[in-house]
Amino acid sequence: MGEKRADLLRGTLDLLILKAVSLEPLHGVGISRRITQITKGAFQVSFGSLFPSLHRMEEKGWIEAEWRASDNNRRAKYYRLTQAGRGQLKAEERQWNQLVKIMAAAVQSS
Amino acid sequence: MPKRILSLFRNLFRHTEVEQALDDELRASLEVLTQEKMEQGLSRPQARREALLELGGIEQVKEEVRGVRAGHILDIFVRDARLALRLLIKRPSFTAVAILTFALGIGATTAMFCVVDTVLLRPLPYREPGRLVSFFSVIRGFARNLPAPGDYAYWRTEKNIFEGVAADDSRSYTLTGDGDEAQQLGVEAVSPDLFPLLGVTPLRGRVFGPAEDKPGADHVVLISYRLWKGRFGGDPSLVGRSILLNGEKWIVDGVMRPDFSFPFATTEAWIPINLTPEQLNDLGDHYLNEVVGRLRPGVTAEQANAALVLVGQRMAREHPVPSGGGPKERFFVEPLRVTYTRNARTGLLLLMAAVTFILLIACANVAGLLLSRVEQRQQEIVMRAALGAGRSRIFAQLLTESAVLATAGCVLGVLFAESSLGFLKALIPADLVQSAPLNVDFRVLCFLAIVLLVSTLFFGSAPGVRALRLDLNEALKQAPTRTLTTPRPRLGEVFVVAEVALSIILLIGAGLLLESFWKLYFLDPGFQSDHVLTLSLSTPTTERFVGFNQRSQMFDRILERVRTSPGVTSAAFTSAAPLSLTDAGMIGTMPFIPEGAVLQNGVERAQDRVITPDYFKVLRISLDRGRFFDENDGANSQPVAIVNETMARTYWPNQDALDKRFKFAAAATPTPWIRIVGVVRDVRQMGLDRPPEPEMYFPYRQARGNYMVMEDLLVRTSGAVPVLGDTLRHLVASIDPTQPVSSVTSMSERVNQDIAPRRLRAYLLAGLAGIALSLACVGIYGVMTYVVTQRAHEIGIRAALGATPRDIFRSVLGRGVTLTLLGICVGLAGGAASGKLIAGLLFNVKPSDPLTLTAAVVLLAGVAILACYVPARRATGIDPMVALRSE
Repeated sequence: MGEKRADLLRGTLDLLILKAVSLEPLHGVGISRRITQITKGAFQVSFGSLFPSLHRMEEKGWIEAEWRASDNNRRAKYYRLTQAGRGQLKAEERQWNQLVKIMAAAVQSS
Repeated sequence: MPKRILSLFRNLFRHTEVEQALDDELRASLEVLTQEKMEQGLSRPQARREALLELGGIEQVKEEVRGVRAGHILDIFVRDARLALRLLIKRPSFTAVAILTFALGIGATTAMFCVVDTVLLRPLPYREPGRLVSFFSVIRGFARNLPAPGDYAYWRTEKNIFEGVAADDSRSYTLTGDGDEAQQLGVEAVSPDLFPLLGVTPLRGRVFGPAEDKPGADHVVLISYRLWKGRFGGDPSLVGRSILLNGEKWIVDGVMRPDFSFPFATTEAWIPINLTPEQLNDLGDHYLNEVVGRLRPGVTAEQANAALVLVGQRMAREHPVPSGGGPKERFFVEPLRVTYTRNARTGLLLLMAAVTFILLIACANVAGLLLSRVEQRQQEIVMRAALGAGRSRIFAQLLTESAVLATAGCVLGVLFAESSLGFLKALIPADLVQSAPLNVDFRVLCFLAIVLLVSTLFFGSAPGVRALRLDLNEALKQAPTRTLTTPRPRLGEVFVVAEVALSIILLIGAGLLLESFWKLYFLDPGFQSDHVLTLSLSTPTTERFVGFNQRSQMFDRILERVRTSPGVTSAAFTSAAPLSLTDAGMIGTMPFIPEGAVLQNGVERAQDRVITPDYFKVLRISLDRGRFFDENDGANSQPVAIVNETMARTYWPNQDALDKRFKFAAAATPTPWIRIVGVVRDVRQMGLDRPPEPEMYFPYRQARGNYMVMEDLLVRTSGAVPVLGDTLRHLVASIDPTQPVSSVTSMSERVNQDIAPRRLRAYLLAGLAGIALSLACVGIYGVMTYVVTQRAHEIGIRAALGATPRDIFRSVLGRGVTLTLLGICVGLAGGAASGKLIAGLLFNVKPSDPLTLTAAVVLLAGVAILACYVPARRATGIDPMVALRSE
């Protein structure tokens, strides 16, 4: 992602991360892969953006982390949605849907 | 949010743990990615490389994560501070000079602020002190006359303007009894309204009320906490009992609180003023020490003054000239605080300005030092920028370095300040009522914090700005291209100009004060102070005139015995020795009418003194015309007076004042004509720096008016003065044991004390100017050395092209001299603009005094050239080959 798009989509990244970990706990690389997957390859999050976001959200209490064994039996830090995170996810989804509606209407009006 | 605060604590205090966790996570992620790539068929090294590429570098990601952590800024600051500390320790001499310089500046500023805070900023210890004012009357020639009781009677009727008005008359009583020795007390006779007006309550008992402020009422007294503790051992049963003042019983109504004093710090007791109806009609005798009022809320001093103009007019209508002692030209009030700090104010503000200059110079110096450091560290800074440090990060790092320096300097500065406070105590007027201890307290620390912040920003941003201007590409090339054009003004050179400008202002100020002091020191006061001892034998003021005859006889006896004592050449009594009534700049005067004079106001005013015949001989005041008093000038002979030159010149211009007559214009009784039998030289009675005023002397046997009472004994001795003090004290005690003796001091000491504030101010300012000069010297030297280093390349080329060492020397020195001259010009302009501030502190010296200006310019230029000399010499030593090769 280019710098400018990253700025524009900073909020979006939060939403995507929350969405990614809402189904099951994931580690950093897993979250990256999941985002690529659920956006059908449209977004490839750089780790330079992902990890800061993860730590920020962890400090905010939206997600929490725990060390556990990964699929191939190596230890990894897994992130899981908290109660607060679930609320945040709902709020962000609502906002996003609203924004999409507004933008769609605006684009079609011309 | 608590979660976030928890994180903050974790980030700050379990830093290693947090970092370790991050490192673990990223390494684990790298491993996951590598595994992923290997599953796609890559070899392990290849997979690892690909994984690193995708991750974007472990350290880079870490830095990104750190950037979002709670307390990130604090974390940066701590790390920057650690780095700064390491860098500073690595260059101890640079660090020491910078810290010491800043400590000097901040120490001087802090110490002076302590004094200014104590004297000028602290509120008076009364309720809502901002609304308290003191009253004065302006009478022709006397700008701040003491009020007369009649004035007070008029002022207190202005109820729309003043919530209350209270009068105060300073008296002196002798406390006896309880077997202790007689103690002379400073007692204030005050209106009972005073205490509610000031908003003070007693510690014990009660304050007296209007019922006790009537003729014939019981004698009641309030005593100070200090007297209660000191003399009466804090006896709780004292209230309601009586104490002996001047041999009479006074019932103690109450004890005041420890922090209460009015109007002097030394006042020990308060009694009702008990003004009679006759006194309240008296507009002529100006003897009240003070009249204070409380303005109604919302009323300004200006409004009060406007109202007082009308009062003056009403009074003139109701008391037409000359029956009442003449119209007051004007009444005015000023804030009580101003009255109390008037003498100290200008001097303190001047010194405060001076230390601010020192601080500015110190800051400029440190800025210059840091600036040259940036130049030396160019490579490091550029490298950091190239590695991705943002401009704000570099700026912040340099600022942190300055902050560390400043904080160290600040701590040292406070130590300087603390140690100088004992010495600066002398700047605080002794009589100040708000006698707070002089120390570095919370208020001062707040001030200090602000100063620290501002000065750090001031000198810390200079290197920051310089660093931001560094051109990455140019600097990285290692061999920056340099031109041989005339060097454009550098930031450091601006500092030189500023330092020189500030220093020259300080030098001129110090020079002017010193010159004033010396002029005063060598001034002929009109009397000879050497070998003269003075003793104060204060008279019980309540019966100032009642026991006149007995007291006269006692004084005669004392004088006779003193005169014949060994070591005494002559002795005299007077109502007030020269320089004994200089406090607060307030003077009482006597209204009189010269015979045959057609005067606009009907009366004139002059100072008056009562003396015994030998007074002029003791002080060696020379007679201009006529004769001195002698024993024949008695109560029943013709009333006579001796006047000073100023009085003779003012009222009998172009005539001989001898044998002219005048009489008192007092309200009550008609007085006889008084003949002038002598004219004496002017004496500087009220302070050496105060021009002589019209003055008249009367023989003590013809004294009239209740203030014409002799108090001061003056003795001319043949030997050393101090030896006689105790002898005379015992002598007085042997004649009248109840007569207190105080203020035993030599006339030279009085002269000394009179000029002491000026001497202190002048010497302090001179010291500060000296500090400024040496700081400026160090600053100029530093900047010029830096400039020479900067120009090494250019100088090398010049030398290679055939410039002689002499040319190079002249070129460098010329630059320094140019900067200095520029600074001197700026400083002279600034000095001229601020001349008004200092004018009030000068004596017989103009702010534009050529001698001082020349001396200051020569001194500063000399020092500046000296400071430039070493770098200039060094420039001539630059080897062209080395200089050229080095780049």
